[in-house]
Amino acid sequence: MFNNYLLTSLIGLSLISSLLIYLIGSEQAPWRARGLALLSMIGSFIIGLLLLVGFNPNQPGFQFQENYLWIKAWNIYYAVGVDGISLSLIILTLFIMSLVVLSIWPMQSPHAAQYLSTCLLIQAFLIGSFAATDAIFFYVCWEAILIPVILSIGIWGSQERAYAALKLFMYTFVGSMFMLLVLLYLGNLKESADFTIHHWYPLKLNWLEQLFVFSGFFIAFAIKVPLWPLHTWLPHAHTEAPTESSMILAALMLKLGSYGLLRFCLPIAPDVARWFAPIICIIGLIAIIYGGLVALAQQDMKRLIAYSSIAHMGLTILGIFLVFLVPYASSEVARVSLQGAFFQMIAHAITSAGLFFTVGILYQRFHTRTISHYQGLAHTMPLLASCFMIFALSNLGLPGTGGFVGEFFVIMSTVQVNIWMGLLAAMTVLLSASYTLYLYGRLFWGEVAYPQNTPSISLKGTEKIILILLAVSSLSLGILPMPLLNEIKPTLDNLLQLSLQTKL
Amino acid sequence: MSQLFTFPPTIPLFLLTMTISILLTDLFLPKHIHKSYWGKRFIYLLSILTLLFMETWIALLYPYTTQQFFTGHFIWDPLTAWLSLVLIGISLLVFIYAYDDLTNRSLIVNDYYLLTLFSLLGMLVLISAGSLLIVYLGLELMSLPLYALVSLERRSNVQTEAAMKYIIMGVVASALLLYGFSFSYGISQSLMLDQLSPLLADTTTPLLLKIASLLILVAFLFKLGVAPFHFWVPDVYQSAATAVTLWIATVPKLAGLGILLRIMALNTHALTISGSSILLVFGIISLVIGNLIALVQTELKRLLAYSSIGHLGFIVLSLALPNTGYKVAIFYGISYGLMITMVLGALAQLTKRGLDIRFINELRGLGNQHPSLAGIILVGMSAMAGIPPFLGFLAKLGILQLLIIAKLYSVACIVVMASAVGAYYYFNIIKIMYFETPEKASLPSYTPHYSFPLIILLFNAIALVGFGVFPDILIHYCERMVESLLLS
Repeated sequence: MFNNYLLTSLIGLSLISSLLIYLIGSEQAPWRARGLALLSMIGSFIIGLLLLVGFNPNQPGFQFQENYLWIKAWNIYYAVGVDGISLSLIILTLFIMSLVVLSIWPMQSPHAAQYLSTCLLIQAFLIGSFAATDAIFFYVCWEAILIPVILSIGIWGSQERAYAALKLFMYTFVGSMFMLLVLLYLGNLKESADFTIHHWYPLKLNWLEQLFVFSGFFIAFAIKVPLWPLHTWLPHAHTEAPTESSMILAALMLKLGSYGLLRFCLPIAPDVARWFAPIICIIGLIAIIYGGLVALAQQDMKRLIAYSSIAHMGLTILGIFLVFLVPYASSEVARVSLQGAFFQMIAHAITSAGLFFTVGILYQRFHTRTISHYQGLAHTMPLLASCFMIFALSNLGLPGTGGFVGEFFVIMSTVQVNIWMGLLAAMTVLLSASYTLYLYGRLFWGEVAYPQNTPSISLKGTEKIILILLAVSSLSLGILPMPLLNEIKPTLDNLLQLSLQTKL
Repeated sequence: MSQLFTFPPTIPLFLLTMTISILLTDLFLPKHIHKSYWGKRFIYLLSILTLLFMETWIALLYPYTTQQFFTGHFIWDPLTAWLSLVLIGISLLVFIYAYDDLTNRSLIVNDYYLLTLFSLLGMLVLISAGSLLIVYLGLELMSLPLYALVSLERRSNVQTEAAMKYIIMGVVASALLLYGFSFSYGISQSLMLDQLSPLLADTTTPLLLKIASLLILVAFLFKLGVAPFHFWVPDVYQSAATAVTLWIATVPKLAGLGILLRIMALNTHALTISGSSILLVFGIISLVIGNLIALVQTELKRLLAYSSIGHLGFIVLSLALPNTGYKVAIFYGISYGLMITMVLGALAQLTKRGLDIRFINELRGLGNQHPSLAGIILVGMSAMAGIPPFLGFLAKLGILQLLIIAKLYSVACIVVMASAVGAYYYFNIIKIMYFETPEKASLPSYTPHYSFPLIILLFNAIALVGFGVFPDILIHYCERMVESLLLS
């Protein structure tokens, strides 16, 4: 009965709670902000549950659709709707954001309420982007994320935060502007009635138009993914951001790029995508190997995890663009590749959220991110060590953890296309094992060597909850991947079919 | 009496009467009342009441039909009516924000309000002009008080220098305007604008008329501050008191836009060079110059000056495309007016709190010290950069859509790149306010309290967000404004 309003109420709840927390929250009465945030979390949880329960994966098209005329003069609608991949990403957003709210909970700093408000604002716009079915509404939410993100990095981050925020802002803004041109072009073609994205899928475009469309989209999304060589904003942003912002950045904002590729780039300009696919697959491979090698050389924990994110996202892009390289007879390989890429997105989100959160705990206690300043933490912080072990194993792709399924599917498909590409793609396992186990070993194993590591400042309640939740979800993704796969299979098959068509 | 009320030319007449009354009151008010609390604010309040009265008066005259008075010299059509409403509305905002800045700089408050009221009178005459004579009358009445306002601090050397630059360049521009007028009178044998239009719309306009149009255009572009006629803008904005910059940067631009619309609506064929409008060229030059030079500025008002040159480049660009372009131009003009009024208003309020901001670096740490004003400047900067969900984004969207529908893809790319460049210096200000701590720990202490201008600033910011999310009503009224100008 309420199906028509669920998505709008989700976005509206996040917006209103963000505004209220900003207005009402104060450092003298921290429970105001915390109470509001708790209510907002519970509300979002209920709506998310309703969405999950009411969603039918096998039904084609978008569900929970809402369509209202927004700007009459320019034919822009406020249109939202979810399909398999949107819904998975929205549930992921709700999950990670509730962990973020829990993480900010015990903060005593004077601006904790404003920080909460900023994070909830990011949540509102993220859900708006994932749920949007009108292109200009998607663009509005996409750009609107920028200001809260740079504020959260710049105000609550560490030493070089201004530079990191600047780089993030300029890179993303410049990339997105060309996407705006492309969206306006597509929406004003004679054949397209308005800006609805899925109405553009059957649109006939000639080669030049497709080239223009693909380039515009690709620049914007490749910067967000981030795809080598447009990745240079990521290490700075992740390193200098505070813990919760790192979690949001790594887990959610990076997924915007790949989601955009699946939603916009591939179905609307399939021929040019096919033409560019070999180059982009090679770039993905370079990203995997480059990310892994540079991660090995890092002395800063967060930077290491940031480069690991670049490597994993390289694998995702490889999985997405591989569908154009498979031998035509075996479309099963293409389907598996796409499923693997998307699964990798979700699993990497949980893994990197866990990794960044752990590093945040350590930084908060010991005020250093340098790996060589730590040793033997397993003695003093056993729960942290156990959970981090699960995140580390998921990062390197051990079967049984979430990171395995996606990697396996993608590497399996790559091997079927070309054995040498498969070999290079499999290097991701080798490299991620190297840097992850190096990181883990240096931090947790060995004797307790440094005096500042000795006082075992035990974990707070909220931190334990977050760690255990993340570890459990990572394991459950690895042991029971079928529920997620069943949700996304029909949508990905549909997108695959659209991407493999030819429009010329 | 009621006939006088519904007779539109009474509106500027009323303003003239009130302004002269305010002048006489100011001159002959007894000294002891001048010093008292309400005496100091008397002229300020009287000016605001005048504006409020006029605003309601014009609003009550709805619906607006095209009427001509004084044998066509005075035109009252939807453009005049709506634009008068906008002008008076923004003047109200300016008056409210400026008071604190004026008193804190110990400037003569009453002179400011008198000069601005005279200038407003000139603007109202300008946008209701039906003949070349009234255009010139309104333009001069608008500009002369502006020249005087720039040098409000009589002892200041920089202000005198800026005022001299402004006067001399402004007088030359007026001379060009009259030159163009004389040519067009010579050819059309009439001063009326609507006698001019059939000649200009004809594709075989004589060369002299094309030159006349160019001269007239150049004069107005000078008044607007469009490159390459922009050289007065940075010096005047920087040297004038913040209250004066607040006036010059906002209201004359909209009035200039109004009269430019009226003249351009007749002019599309006359001002083309091999098919494309010369306005495109001026627009692109303005965009590029404004955004590039703003990158290297270290003083805040100078940066805002160059950014306004850039924004006017956008407006001029959309004027180049007839019909839909006019609507987008007015929409962008109104959104720009709201944004820049808000930013300069916040700066004026900062003066009251003891912070006379000249250099951008002086904004350091404002996010902590003065959160509400810093938040307002944040909203203003984001809106000007074109970030959703603020109004500035929709204005840029309108222009980009216009360019893409007209198939001017390379111009659209230039607009996009200029916006991207512009985003840097807006971000820089946000960065300095929020991400850096102040150098000297001894900023003037301030206990937060809500004052009336601050509340109006907050409403201004809410309007930017509100119109950014629900622009339909604004777009609707922009359409109403230009419908009388549309070429059939």
